[in-house]
Amino acid sequence: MPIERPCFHCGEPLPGGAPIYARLGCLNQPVCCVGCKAVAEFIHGSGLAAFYEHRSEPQAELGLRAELAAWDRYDREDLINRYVYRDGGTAEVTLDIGGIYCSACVWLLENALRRLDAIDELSINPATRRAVIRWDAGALRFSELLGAIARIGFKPQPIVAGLGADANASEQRTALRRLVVAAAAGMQVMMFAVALYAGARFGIETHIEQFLRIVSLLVSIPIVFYSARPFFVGALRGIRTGSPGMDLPVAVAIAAAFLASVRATLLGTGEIYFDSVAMFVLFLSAARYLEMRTRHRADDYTQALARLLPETATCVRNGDPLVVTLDEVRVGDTVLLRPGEVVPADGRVLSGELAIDESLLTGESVTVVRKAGMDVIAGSINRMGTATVEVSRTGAATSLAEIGRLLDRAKADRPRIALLADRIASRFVLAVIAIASATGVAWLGIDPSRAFEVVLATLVVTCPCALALATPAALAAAASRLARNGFLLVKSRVLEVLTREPIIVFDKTGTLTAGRPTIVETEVLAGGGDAARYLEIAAAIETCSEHVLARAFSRFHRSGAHETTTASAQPGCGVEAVVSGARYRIGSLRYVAELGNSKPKSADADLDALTDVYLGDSSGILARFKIGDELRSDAAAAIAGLKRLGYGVMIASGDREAAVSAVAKALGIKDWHANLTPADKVELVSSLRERGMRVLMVGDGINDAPVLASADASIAVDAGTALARASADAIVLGRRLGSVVDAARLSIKTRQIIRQNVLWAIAYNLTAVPLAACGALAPWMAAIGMSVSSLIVVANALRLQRPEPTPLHDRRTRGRAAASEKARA
Amino acid sequence: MTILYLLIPLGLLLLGIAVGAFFWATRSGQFDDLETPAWSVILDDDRAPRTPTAGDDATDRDE
Repeated sequence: MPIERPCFHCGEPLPGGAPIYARLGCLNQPVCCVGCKAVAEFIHGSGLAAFYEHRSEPQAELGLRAELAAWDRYDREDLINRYVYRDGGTAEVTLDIGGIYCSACVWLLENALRRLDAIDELSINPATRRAVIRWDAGALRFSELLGAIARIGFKPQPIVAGLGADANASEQRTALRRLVVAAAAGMQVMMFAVALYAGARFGIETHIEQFLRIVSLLVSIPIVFYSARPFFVGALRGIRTGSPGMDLPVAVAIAAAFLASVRATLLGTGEIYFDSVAMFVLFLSAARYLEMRTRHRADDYTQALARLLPETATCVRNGDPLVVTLDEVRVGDTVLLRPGEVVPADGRVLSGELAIDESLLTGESVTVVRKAGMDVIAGSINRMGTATVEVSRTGAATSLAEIGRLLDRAKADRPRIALLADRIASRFVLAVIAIASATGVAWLGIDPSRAFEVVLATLVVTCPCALALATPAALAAAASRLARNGFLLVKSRVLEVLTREPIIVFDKTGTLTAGRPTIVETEVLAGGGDAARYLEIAAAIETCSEHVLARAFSRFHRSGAHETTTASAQPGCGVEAVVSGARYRIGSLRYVAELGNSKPKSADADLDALTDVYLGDSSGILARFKIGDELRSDAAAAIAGLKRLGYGVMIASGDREAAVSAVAKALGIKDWHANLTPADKVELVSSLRERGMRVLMVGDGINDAPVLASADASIAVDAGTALARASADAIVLGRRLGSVVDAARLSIKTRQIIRQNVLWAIAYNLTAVPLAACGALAPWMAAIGMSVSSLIVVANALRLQRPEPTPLHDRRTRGRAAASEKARA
Repeated sequence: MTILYLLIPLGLLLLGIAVGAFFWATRSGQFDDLETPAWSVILDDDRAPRTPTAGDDATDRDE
């Protein structure tokens, strides 16, 4: 297919790479993007194909009205499924919003959208342009929501964990062009400026001087009107919304200097400032370009996740393997996986055995074996073996998309400190304009001929960017660093809390221990049944439970052997269910004894570290299962690491004293509490908080949701496939507890960097502004000062993204841990 | 120094050509990815690509 052919729908040139075709009847037409494919197919499918013959010009510039109409396509069921995550009546979508430049835009958008009643929750991050919106899907259609955003003048683009790559690429191209034009033209202007300065010193023919000034003017035109355009656009937007951003003083300075120079050139007398304008625009564009790169790099991880998915999958239909596009894979399909292929959707292995590499999702490099009946998740790579997989979730429902959504939600969540910085920046701009005006009035009295130059320098030299950029840039960098290690930051308050010397409270089961419990001993207490039968009944009930201990029974589960109905789980106590007609309870002694009204016989002095699970019916307690659970391989190292960083560590467990104390002793934790119900745990956390301590709770995220919610911040470890329901502020994807230590270390560093940035911004402005107001700085010096200040802030934040060199002993222990893990698996 | 009346426009013309060439280069995507092309030298290209792209035939065959 010749690349030169334009997109069939919009007339834009086709992008490189794999071509996309719209299927129109029996013809395939090349299109530039999925959107055009959808619209073209929709138009053709509605019998409106004549549109393409009768339209007078390709779509590209049809304007806002056409754009509004195009949102209708987002009411198609398949597009909604791709982008919108639905949870009952409410829907959630992540949007990349084109046209957001600063916090003022966010303000405008937030206020406009809050007026719509159907919108429940809304968070927008100006640094990443990501908006996460939750709304009532019954009251507002998806297309209406997008249309509402478009009507204000922004361009919403729904994203599935990072389809925003295209928007980023074109934004980057345009910015690079503006920068290069500013550089090329700026250098010419500087060259003429040198000639003119030399001429002023050593003499120059008048007609040559006038010629050079006119040429400078001509070369400056593209700088002001092309390269500096984003500043003017941003300033205008700021004025319109009534909260000026940092673009305003910049735009005023550029416009004033340029107009004054044009006047001087045309009149043939007076100072010209073309060189200052050129340099100001050049350096500022460079700073903006770098800041944009940081922002995009923070998106990279999300996009890398999206790119994990293959474009096609091999489906088995009617017994034949058939290559289909990813969109056509449906729930219930059987997919064939060969070595080296990427799992296209979440599913369960039907037959065969795979060695699966989930390193891109969890940061763990050990491959894991998946046999028939086990789950695989989309985006992991099949290293070895061939198998068929039954698809259980596709598209936006996959764990991969869920991770992406969590990351986006994290990016849209701005901590209080960032909001504060925004507010300061907005006031700062007004102060700058006031100072500049006052300086102007004062200098008109002192030396009217220099007044303009001094005002210009004052406007230029102030740098609110450092204040506004400092915090968001650092947080975005930290979050993307952590995500790469398998630590998903959902709310950035985790980083805040980690820096305030919290006490870290660990749940035991599934958190400090590996959560791979095994039944060590079965003891029949009453009823005369044999142990195997009780095990089967217990297994049947435990299929309804997600408690980590329930996994110990899965080995004994025989499908169809016992019919289980009306199961209800009592968090922290156990499960009650009707099995083959009889009512049973399984769980803690107290809970099970309640059913039979029997008195718990706790005389058994259980001093071993094993957990006891009881099975009972209305006649009393039938059996006791002793379940052992080993420590996570890196638990000791992680606890030691946290202690070294100065954190207090505590265990709060619902387990028996003996089991908890054994774990506490093994890990060197002095402070532990056992026999806690979930309510007790909540009380413990609140009492700690009342004593003025900050509490960071680490749990498995599902069984201890209320405790996690009651702490200042929470981390869920190994939430596995139940990611969506994990209610923590951060989620550790791998089995490595060490991620928590990494996060603690990085949060300390992040706080340092934010402090450095803010301090630098304050110090710089306090020094530079008075100097400029006194007339000590020429406009070009001010231009350099301000730009370099922004660059320093961005570059400093970028340091967080660099991986730390792992100390050698750390690497060795980690390798050993991985090896022992492998041996066990 | 009247030669400047010729040389400066000539210089600007060259500048225009250079900027034009740069615009063409960005449009054709040469600046989109500055890292991967450098690696492509090292990567094996004698192995078949991992995932076949969705070509015409795949689109034609289904339904």
